Amino acid sequence: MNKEIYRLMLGGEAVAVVEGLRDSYDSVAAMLKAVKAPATILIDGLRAVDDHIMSKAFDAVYRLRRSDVFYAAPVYLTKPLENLEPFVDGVSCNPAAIRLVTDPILAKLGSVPVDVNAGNDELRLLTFLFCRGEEALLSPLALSAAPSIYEYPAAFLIGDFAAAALQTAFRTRGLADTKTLLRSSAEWVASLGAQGFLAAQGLVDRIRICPQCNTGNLNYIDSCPLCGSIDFAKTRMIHCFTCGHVAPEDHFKNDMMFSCPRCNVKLRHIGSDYDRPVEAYLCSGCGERFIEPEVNADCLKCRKKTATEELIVRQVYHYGMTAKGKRAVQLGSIYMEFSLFDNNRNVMPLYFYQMVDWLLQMKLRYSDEDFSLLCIRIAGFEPLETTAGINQFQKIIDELALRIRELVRSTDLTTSTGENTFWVLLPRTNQKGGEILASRVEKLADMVSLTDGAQIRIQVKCFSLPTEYANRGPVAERLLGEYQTALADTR
Amino acid sequence: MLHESIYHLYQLIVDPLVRSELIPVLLTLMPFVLFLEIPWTLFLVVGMVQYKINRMAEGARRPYFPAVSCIITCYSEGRDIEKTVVSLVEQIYPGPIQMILVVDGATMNKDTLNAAKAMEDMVKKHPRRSLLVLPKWQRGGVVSSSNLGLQFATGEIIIKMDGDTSFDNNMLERATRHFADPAVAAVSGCLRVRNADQSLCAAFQAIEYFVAIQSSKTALSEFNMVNNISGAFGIFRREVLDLVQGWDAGTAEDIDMTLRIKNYFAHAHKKFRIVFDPEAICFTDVPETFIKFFKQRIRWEGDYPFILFKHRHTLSPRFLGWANFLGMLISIFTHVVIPGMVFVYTIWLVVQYPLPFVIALLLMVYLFYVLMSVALYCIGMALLSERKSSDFSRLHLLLLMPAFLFAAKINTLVAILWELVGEGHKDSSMAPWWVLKKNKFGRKEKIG
Repeated sequence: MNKEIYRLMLGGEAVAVVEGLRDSYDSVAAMLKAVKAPATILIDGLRAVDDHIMSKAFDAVYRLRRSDVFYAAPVYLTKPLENLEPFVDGVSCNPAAIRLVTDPILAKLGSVPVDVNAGNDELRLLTFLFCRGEEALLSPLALSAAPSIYEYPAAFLIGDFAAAALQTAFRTRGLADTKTLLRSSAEWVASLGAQGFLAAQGLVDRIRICPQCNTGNLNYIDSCPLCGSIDFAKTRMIHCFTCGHVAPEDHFKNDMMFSCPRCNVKLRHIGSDYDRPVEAYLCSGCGERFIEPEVNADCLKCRKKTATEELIVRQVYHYGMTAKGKRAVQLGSIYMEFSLFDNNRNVMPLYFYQMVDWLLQMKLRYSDEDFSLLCIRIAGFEPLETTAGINQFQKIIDELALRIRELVRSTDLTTSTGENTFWVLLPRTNQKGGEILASRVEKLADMVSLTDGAQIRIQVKCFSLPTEYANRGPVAERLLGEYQTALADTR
Repeated sequence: MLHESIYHLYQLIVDPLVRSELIPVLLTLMPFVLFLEIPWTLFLVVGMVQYKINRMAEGARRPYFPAVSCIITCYSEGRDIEKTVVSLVEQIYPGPIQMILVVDGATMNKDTLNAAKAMEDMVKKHPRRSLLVLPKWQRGGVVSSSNLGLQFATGEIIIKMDGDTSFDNNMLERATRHFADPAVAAVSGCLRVRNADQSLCAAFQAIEYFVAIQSSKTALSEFNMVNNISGAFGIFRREVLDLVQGWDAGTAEDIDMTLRIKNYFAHAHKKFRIVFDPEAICFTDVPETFIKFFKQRIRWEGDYPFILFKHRHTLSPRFLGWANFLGMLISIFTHVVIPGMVFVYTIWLVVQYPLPFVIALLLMVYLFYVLMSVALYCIGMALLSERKSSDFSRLHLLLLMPAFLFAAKINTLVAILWELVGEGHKDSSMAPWWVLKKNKFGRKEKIG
C-alpha cells in the first residue's frame, strides 16, 4: 500500500517534476489545516537556495515537529541543504525511493496512539525514534554556536529547544516538567536515558562544560597561580657556577654579555660557567615567579572561571530505544518522577495502597501491630534553581534525597504519588515515633536555607490510620489522596 | 759528564756575555734561531699590540645582527652534539639562528641521529632559533655534508662547525660584527681546548692552541695574513661561499677553501679581508693521550705538501698579494723546512761535536725557546686572554713546552716524509675511500 506524500512548496520553482505526489501546500499552516493523519512530507521549492529559503525551510521542519500530527512523520528535502540535513529524514526527488524508507515508518506510526503521545514532549520524541525502527539512533550533532556544543537534532525540534534558545529560561513550570531544568536537547536526551527510556549506545565524544551555566564554550586560559593575572611571561633562570647565584636571565644581562650580579664573574659558556636550572614564569601583575601557570576554563557565557578539574565532564552518546521506552510509546503513557527513593523498597502506588490496607487489617486484628504513614512534600525548588544554578541545585537535591533516605529504615516502604509528594510506610511505628521522624525530616530543609532568600520547604506529616476504616474495604488510596490534598492546602 | 755540560754551558753563555760576544756565538751555532724565531716572535708581538690598540679604540657595536646558519657536520659524536646545539641556542644574539645538523652515515650513526632529533623540541621553544636535521644515510664525507648543509642554509652568514664543539655565548655577536664591513669575506674563529684540565697532553695542547691560534692568528690578522680558516669553526659570508661554489671534494677542505677565497679575491682585484677574532671562541676536545695526539697530527699535517701541490699554480704574489705570499712562505717554512732543519741539525751536532758539548748546546737552545715561549704566552695572556686565571694556571708547563713542540714537529716531519714517499694522503678518516678515489685530489683535513 502506498502511503501519501505531500509536497510543501516554499516558493520558487520545484527542483524537479516529481510524479506521484498527493497535494502541494504553500505553508505548514495550510497543510496542518488540510491533513489530519501522519504522512510523508517533501519540502520543495529549493531551487535557488539563499539564507531566506534556508530559514524558511528550517522553520517549516520546526513547525512540523511541533505539530500534533507530523511530530514524528518522515520529512524529506528535494535538494541537499547542508545545515538542514541532520534535521530531516533524507534528500530525494524520487517518490519510490522515499516510500521505500517512509512506508515502514508510517506503518509503525499507525500502530501507536499518535494523538495521545502528542500531549507529552517526551512521548513525542520516543515515538519519533520508535517508528524509525529498531536500529534507529538519536545521534548528537556538534553545533559550534550551541552553548551545550552537542544537540540532538530531532530532540532539539521536538522538545522546542529552538524556541527555548530564543526565550530566556525564566519560565519555570515545576519540578515534574524536567525540561525546565534542561537547557539543551543533549541534557533532555540524557535524562531520558537516565530514566531508562533511552539507552546510550556508543560514545561519540567527551566535552567539558561550565558548572555554573552548563555551557561548553570555554576558553582555557593560563594565569598566575597567585593573583590570577593572565599577564605573565616566561623568564629563563641562570645559575652562576662561581657563586651559586640563581636569578632570572635579565638580572645577568649586561649589554651583550652575561655577568653575575653577585660575584661579577662573566658567564661565557653554558655548562662550564653557568647553567639553566629551570624555566620560570614571571607575573607582571604581582611579581610572583612560578613554574607552572594555573590553567582555568573561562566560560564565555557566564564568565565564571573554573579550575579544569571542577568542570563537568559530559559523555556524548548515541541513544537508542529501550523496552521501557517502547512500552511508553505503545501505551501512550510516561511516568516521569523525581526519584527520591530508588531502591527496591520503592514501590508502585497501587502496591503501596494494598500494603497500607493490609496493615490496617493487621492493626484491627492485633492491637499491638501499629504502623504510621509519613507524607513528605517538597516545595520551593523553582527560586532555588534560578539563584543557585542548575548544578548547584542538583547537588542540593541529591544531598537532600540522601539525607532523607538515611532516615528511612530498610524495612520501610516508599512510593511517590504525584508532584513532589512522597509516602513512607513505617511498620511497627506508632504515631509518636512517626512524628519524631517527621520532625527530623522537616529540619533538613534548614540545610539548604543558606542561599539568598530562596528556601526549600519540606512539609512532613505523620498519619496514623484509625482502625475503624479497616472494615470498609480498601480505603488507603482515598485516604492518602485526602491527606495529600489537606497537606497541600496548608502551605 | 753533567759537570762537563754545565761547564760548556757556562762557556757558551756566561763567558761570551761577559766578553760581549754572545751574538757571534749564536750566529755560528744557531743561525735560524736568530734569523727566524726572534723576528717572527717580535712580529707577532707587534701584531698583538696593534690589535689591542685597535680593539680598545673600537666604538660601540653597530646594531648589525644578520641571519646566521650554522652547518654542524656530525658523524659518530652521539650525544656530544647536544653541547654544540645548546651553546648555539644560548647565544646572546638578537638575530635568527638556523642550526643544520648534517648527520653523515646516519644508518650507522643512529645515536647521533637520535640525539639530533631529540633536540628539535627543545630548540622550538626558543624564538628565532631553528633546528634542521639532515640525515645522510650513506657516508659521504665532511665536504659533502658541508655542501649539503649549504643547500638548506638560509642565513646571510654561514658558520661551519664540527659536531663536538661548543661556543661562548657571545661568539655570534662577536663574529658577525666584522661582516658589517663589506670587505670581510670570512672570519676565522678562535679555538680553545675544552678538556685542558683532563690530562697533561691536553694541557700542553691548550697552551699550543693559545699561542698558535689565539695569539699568533690575532697578530697575523692585523696584517691580513690569516692563512687558514679552521674546518672545525669557520664563519663565512654566504655570497663568498656561493662565489667559490662551496667546498671542494677531497681532504683539508678548510685550507683549500681559504686558498680559494684568497685566489678569488686577488683575481678579482678586490679588497678583501679574512679576519681572525680572538673573542669569537669555540671550545673543542683534544686527544688526551700522546699516542692519540700524534696520530691526530699526522692526519692533519701529513698532507700539507699535497695541498700546496694542488695550489702550485696560484702560489705567487700576483695571486695572493705580497703579505699573504710571505705568510704562506713562512707557513711552509714552519711546517716543512724547520722540522727537517732541526732534525738534520741535531744529528749533525751529535756527529760533529762531543756529547757534553751537544747537550750543553741543546740545553741552551732549549732555554732560549722556553724564554721565548714564556714571553709570547705572557704577552698573549695579558693582551688577549678572556680566561686569564685558567691560562695562568698552566704557566709552569711552559718549561716543558719546547720539548712537546719539538716532539710534535718531528712527528710532523715523519708524516710529511710518509706523505711524499708513501700514499699517506689517501688514508683519511674524514671520507670513505670510494669518495676519495673519485675526486681529483685526495687529502686529509686539518685544524689550526
